[in-house]
Amino acid sequence: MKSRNFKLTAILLMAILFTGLTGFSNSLKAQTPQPLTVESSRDFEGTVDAIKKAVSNGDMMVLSELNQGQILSMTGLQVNAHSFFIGNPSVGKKAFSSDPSAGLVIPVRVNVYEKNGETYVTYFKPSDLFSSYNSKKVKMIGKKMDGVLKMMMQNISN
Amino acid sequence: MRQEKIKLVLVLITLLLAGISPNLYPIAQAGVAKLSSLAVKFLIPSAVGIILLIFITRALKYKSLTKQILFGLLAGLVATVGLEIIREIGFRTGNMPGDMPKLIGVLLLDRFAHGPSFWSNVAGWAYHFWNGAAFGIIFSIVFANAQKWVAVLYGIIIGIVFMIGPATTTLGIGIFGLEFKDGYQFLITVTLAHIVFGIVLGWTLRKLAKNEELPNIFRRLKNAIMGSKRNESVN
Repeated sequence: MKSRNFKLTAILLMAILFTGLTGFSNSLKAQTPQPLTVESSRDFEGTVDAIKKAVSNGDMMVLSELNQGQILSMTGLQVNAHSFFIGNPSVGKKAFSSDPSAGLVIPVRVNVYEKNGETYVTYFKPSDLFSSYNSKKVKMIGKKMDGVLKMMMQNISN
Repeated sequence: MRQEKIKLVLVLITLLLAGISPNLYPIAQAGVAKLSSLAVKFLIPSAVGIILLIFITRALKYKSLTKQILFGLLAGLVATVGLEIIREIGFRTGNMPGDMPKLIGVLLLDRFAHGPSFWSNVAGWAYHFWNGAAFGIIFSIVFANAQKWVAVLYGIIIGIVFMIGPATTTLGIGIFGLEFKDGYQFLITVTLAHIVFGIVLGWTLRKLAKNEELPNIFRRLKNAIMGSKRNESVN
């Protein structure tokens, strides 16, 4: 009888531990921002141009660009990759006046790359990145940027 | 005696101006200032200064000094062709982490984010060749008609100084490029390229100077202090 009770207790404990660990790892997964990737209907150059237009249509600006493919050509690597830093002065002013450390996530970074002949656009959802800030204003900007980027991606994938 | 002192002053000014260009890239890589602003403030004025010195020494009829600067400049340019051949082969065979003149070009024109362009490549190559010319002038003035092995040693020392400076550490390959690939590819390519630079520099200088005996800096110093008994046309 004693032995049976011991076995039952052990099984119960293991079940609790397993459930707890799974839940913990799931919550960790939820906290880690996952990049969103959208396949473009255009070629690489076309996608780069489309992003510039879509940014403008979304009342945003390309604040800076990194032609990563061209930069890496200096190392002998041939790759099509281009990063955009997107934002606008109004969004920047709101975010920085609320929390000057917002520069870590603003402007938002969008990356275009080519793989196996297909062009993809990838970015971290701004609301995921901005969620670690205590400022409500910064969080709100993150949500607003989600919408802008979503609209941009729809333009690119259509 | 006074003439010798003027010549010595001109030699020292030439050395100072020639020493500027090779130091700018390591200074920029050390984070002191942007290469683009250093080029405007120091590189262009120093290059103009050297060209002016050639005309000044010529106007003053300091033939040997004019020849030393000109020969050094030309020999340095030719020697850089030799160095570039080895460097380019090294890069294309994957034994160099990057294309140095292209990197210098984007830094010179402050367009790293956009990558290299035709004009940035031109600027990068021009800077690399001017560096070679500057090293040629320094060698010609300091060592003049030295033995060829001195030029080879000179080339090796330039290579070593390059490999221990911020120019390599900022590339992420460590001192002597030991963290690049198996640790020896960069070291061998750079050393070989600078040995070729030294050989071609020494050989070209000798060819240009032919049988002329050009005074090295130590002799000029001695002449300025002790007074020269030599004829002006010789020195």
